[in-house]
Amino acid sequence: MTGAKSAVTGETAESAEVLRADGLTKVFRARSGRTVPAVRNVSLELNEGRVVALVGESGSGKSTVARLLAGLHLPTSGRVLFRGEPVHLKGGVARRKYARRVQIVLQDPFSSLNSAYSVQHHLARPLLLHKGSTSLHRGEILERSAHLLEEVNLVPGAEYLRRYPHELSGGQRQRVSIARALAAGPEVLLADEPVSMLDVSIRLGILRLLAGLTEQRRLGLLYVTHDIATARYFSHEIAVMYAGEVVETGPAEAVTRRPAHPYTQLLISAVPDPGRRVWVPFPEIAVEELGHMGGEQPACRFAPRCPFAQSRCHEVEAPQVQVSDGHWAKCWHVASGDEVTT
Amino acid sequence: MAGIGQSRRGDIRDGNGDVLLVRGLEVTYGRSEQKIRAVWNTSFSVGSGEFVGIAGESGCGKSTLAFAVARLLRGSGRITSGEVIWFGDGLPGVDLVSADDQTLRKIRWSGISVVMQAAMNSMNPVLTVQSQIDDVMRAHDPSLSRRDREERVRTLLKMVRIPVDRAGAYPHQLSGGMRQRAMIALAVALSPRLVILDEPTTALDVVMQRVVLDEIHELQQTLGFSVIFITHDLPLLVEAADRILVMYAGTIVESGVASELYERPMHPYTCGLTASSPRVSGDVVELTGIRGSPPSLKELPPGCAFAPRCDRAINKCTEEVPELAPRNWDSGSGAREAACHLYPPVVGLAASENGGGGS
Repeated sequence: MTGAKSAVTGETAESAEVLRADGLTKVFRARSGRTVPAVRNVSLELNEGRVVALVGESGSGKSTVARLLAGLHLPTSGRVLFRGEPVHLKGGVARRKYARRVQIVLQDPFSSLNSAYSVQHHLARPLLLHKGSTSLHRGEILERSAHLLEEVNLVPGAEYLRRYPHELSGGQRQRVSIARALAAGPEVLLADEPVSMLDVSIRLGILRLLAGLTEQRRLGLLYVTHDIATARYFSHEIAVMYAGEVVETGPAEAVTRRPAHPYTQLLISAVPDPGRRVWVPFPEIAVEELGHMGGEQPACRFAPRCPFAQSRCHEVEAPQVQVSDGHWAKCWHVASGDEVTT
Repeated sequence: MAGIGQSRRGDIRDGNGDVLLVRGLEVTYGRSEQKIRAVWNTSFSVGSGEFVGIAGESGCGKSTLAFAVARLLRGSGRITSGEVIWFGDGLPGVDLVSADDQTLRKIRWSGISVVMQAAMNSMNPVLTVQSQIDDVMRAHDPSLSRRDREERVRTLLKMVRIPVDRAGAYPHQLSGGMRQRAMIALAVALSPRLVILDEPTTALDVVMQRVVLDEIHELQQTLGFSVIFITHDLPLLVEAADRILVMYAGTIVESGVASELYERPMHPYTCGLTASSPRVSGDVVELTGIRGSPPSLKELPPGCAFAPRCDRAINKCTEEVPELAPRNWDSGSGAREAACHLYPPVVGLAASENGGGGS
């Protein structure tokens, strides 16, 4: 069973759109006055029961996209649409209403839970807050909390309610964070590196849980990760980010098996692969790190590291090129047709 | 002890010998009642120029093992039994466990150097990269002149592809990847025979992880040191290491040549690890993973520590601790080292009466 993959087969592409990012741009302003365009013109959509993986290295802006979608940052330009309606987050009521629908799960389960409170407290709060009524009596809260814990496979739930974060393993804490997100009854779950702090044998369980919840609750799931291998296994679509931009997007299998953008190719060749017998050193050029985001930048940010870069890559913004059905890359090299193979 | 190690152990003085031999190592934390055995009954060897990978999950004792080998245990951690024999340049073995401070100081940096897990934060924030490397060289090799040292710093930084004009930078002015590479430059500054790297790439993203690994490989080729590389990432080791040791709950449960160990894992834990990592190439295969979570070192289950999570466990597994020994693999394609009752030990060894389990 490979989680989301099993969901792919039985499903047609007719699932409804829940959340859409439309040309999101976020420019941070440093105290020195320097501006940092962390996210530039990012568009993507999350659909019911589907997983979209947002893949990129640290500093690529992938977490900022998740935060923009969660309403934790306001975009500099562009907008977020929930079920087709533009999202306005003015005032507490609107924010709370939005938080009920769109929940975020953070990377570090060791700091996202309050060590002074029991698991029960962590679940009761969102239940009370988002059910919009204080009429929920204690027994009902306990029952729902326990049920939520069982939904994330912490069984028996009632037993785990009494525990404190320090009494739980990393994987169990992450399950509690997921249960807490579910307590609000969301339609969208934004998972920001949900397994990168966990051990290999634990990761699989959490990813399967997320894939299962996506299917059962018909959630739109954004899986933010730097690990394109897990993205391949647990998502339907992959969007690859580099320096604040989505450079390639498409069905997970197409993007990982036939990557078109040179950056995606680099990313994939960097993944440890036991099938590769010989140690293949990286091209020297790729060693250059992601530079500062401010100041003068080439039109294609990847150009300085790209083995195929031409002069126009530095000067003119690259076009979006369709590689195959639903598979797009933003690259001059792909546009010139050298790379497009089927 | 390793079959590979055994064949090498005869000639310890020349380049083909071991640089390190660990025998029956046990490390405990805490006092009598609250004592935790973080590492127990652990034996392995590292050959000259060999890249040995140690794979295991958090809490399996892999970092404690590295600290113990380098005699850097802190707090209540103590080596309670076993030996760590170090074979310096042409010298007879020195047991690091009983070595005095003076001997240890001679061996550190120039014999064994360690790159810690938190290497990104283990540089001194108020000293430039250059002066930190200079510091180490001055303290451990007073024969080098100022000019020699400057020259060496430049060469080292070039080796790890840090632009020479960054030598005067402070750690916070470098990116994570660069800091890690600076740490590696520091570790090889005095041409040690063994470099121990504890999760050196864990905090980096895949591209930078690859770059750092490339660098370690390249440095190893040019300088010829041995490597102990500790990580939780088994696929990474399969590509990078010559030999892999898999640790679980404080001890080694399997050891073998990297590619063999990955392709035909013996111990059910190793099987579980290999079936937990999705791959980017090839077809999408079923990932089975491992159920449950690792045991607490405070209260290890009786018998094999992995038995409660093991689908193939037999009665014996909960009764008797399996020894790491050469065992016969079903297909008859030669023995490998594993600590698992499912495989019969190679005849001629102490525990030869057990033939059950196998098949």
